[in-house]
Amino acid sequence: MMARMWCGAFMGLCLTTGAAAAPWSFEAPLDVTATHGERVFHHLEAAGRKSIAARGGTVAVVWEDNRDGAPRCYFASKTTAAAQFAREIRLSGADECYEPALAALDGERFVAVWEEAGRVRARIVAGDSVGDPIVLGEHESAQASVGADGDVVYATWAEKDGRFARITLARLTVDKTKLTIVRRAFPDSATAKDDQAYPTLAPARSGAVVVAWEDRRNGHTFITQTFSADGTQFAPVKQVNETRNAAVPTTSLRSRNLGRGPGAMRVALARQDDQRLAMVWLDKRDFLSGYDVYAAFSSDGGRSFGKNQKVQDSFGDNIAQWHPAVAAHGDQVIAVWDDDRDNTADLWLSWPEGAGWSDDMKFAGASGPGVQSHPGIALDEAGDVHVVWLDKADLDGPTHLRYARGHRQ
Amino acid sequence: MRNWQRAMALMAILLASLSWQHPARADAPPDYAFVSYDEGLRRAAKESKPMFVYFGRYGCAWCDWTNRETFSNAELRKLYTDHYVLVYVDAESGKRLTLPNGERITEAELGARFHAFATPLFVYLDAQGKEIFKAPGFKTVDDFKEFDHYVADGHYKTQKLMEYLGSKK
Repeated sequence: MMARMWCGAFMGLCLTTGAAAAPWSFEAPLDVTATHGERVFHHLEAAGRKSIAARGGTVAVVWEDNRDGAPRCYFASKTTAAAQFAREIRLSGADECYEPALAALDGERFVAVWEEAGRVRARIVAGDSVGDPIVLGEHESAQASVGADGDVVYATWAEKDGRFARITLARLTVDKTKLTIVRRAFPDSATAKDDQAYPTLAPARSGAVVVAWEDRRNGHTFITQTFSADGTQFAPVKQVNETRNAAVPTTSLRSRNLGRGPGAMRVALARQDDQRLAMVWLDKRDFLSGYDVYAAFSSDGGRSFGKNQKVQDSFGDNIAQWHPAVAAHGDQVIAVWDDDRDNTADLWLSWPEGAGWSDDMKFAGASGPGVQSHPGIALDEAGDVHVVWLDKADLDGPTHLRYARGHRQ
Repeated sequence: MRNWQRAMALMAILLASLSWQHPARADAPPDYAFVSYDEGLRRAAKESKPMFVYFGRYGCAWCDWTNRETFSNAELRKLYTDHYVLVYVDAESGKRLTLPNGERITEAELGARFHAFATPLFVYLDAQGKEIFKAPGFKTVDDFKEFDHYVADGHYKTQKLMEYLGSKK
C-alpha cells in the first residue's frame, strides 16, 4: 500500500517499480485457435470467468465463436511447455451454444459445461477422447459454471423457476469420460423473489462447496454466497458486497444516489486451499466512476467472507473496470480485469500484497494499441499463471483469441 | 386552506416520502415503446429516425427519479415517441443482442462499449447508429426538450451540444 501512495506522488516512476516487483514473467502471447476472420467473433463469457484451466502440465481453454455462421462452443488444449495449442474440439452439437466454462480434473481430463438449445449441458474431454454430453438443466437454463477438486465435481447455473431464474447446483461423478449427475439442489432454499444470475463455485476435496452469484431480491443487484459441507444442506445466504450503512437515512443524498443499493455483478471465485478462498466482482458503490474491482477473502472454508477490499490501484479509480477474474493456488492469489486507463482496453493484473493489493501490472501483448479484454486466468501447481483474452484492432472489429503463460519468478 | 385540503396535502407529502424510501425497480418508464438495441438499429435505419438509448440499472434511484419526474410528462412522451426510435438497455443484463456486423454481445457489454459509467445514461444516435452525444444523470423535461431541438433540428451537424446550449442563452 505504501507503494501506491508513492506512485501517486511520482507517477512516472510507478509503472517501472510495479513491473519490477511482479512475481511473474510473461512469455510472448500466442493464438489459441487459428480460426479467425472478418466476421468471426470469439467470446469468453463463462459465469465466474472460468474459461481456462491448468493442471498436471496441461492447459485448456473453452470459448464460443461463430465461424460457421452460428454460435458454437469449442475446446483447445496444449501441454504447458508446447509452443502452440494442439487439439481443438467442438463441444456443442447442432444448436446454438453460449457461455462455455471449464474445470480441470486429475489425469489430463477436463469437464466443460455450456448452454445449448436453452439447456445447460456438460461433457468430459480426456486427451483425444470426448465423453457423451449430458443435460444438466431440467428447464430453461443458462450461465453455467463448473469446479473440481480431486474427484469432487460440482456444476452450477441459473435455471428458470416460475417467473425468475434460480441458482441450481449439481454434484457430478466422473468415470473415465462418463459424467453422471449424483443430485441437484438449490443453494438458496427460499423460492426466488427475483432473478438470481451468473453463479460460480469452488468445491473442496471434502465434498464441501461454496457457491456465489448475483441476486436481485432486494431491488438491486448484489453479490451473495452460501456454503455446504456436502452439496445438500446449505447455510443461509450471505451478502458479500458491503452496501448502505444502516445508519444512513434512506431519504439522504447518499440513498438517492445509490437507490436500494449500488450495482454489483459478475462474481468470480477461487480456492487457495481447504480453508482459504478469494472472491472478486464488479462493484459500483462509487457510482460516479463506473464499476471497480472489489475482493473479499474467506479463511473458514467459505462459510463467511471478510471485509471488502478495492483491488485496482488509484490510477484506475476514475474509470470503469470490466470482466474481473481470479485464480488461486496455495499462498498465491492473482486477479485480472480490463480497463482503458491508457485510452484503449488493456489487461491488468494485481495480487495481494501487505494489507491490500499490489500496484496494477500489465504485460506485453495484452496491452497497448487495440483492445485486449475479457480475460480468464488460472494458476497451475508450479505457480505459473495462464491467461486467455480477446484481442482486436478496434472496438467493432473481429477478434483473436490469445493466450500467455507467466512464469513464477 | 380547509382542513380536508390540508389533510390531503399532508397525505400526498407522506405518500411521496414513503415512495422515495421504497423506490420502484428502475425499469424503462411505462407507456414508452422501448425496443432492444439491435431492433432499434434496424428500425432507425428503416424509418430514417434518430435513436434515443436509455441505459438504466436495476435499483438505480436516479433512473427511477427520472422516470417519475420527467418521463411521466405527457408532452415529452409524445415528442420523443414521434421523433425517436426508443431503446432501453439494462446495463447489468446478460440479454443478447446482435450488431449489424454480425457480432453478438450482451446488454452489459453494450454498456461497457458506451462507457456507461453511471446510470441513467442517455445516448442520442443518428439513423445510422452513429453517436451524436451522451447525457449522464437526472434530466428535467426542459433538458430533454432542449436536447430534442438540438438533434431533431439538425443543430448537431454544425455545433457541439455545449455551443448550441450556450447560443440559446
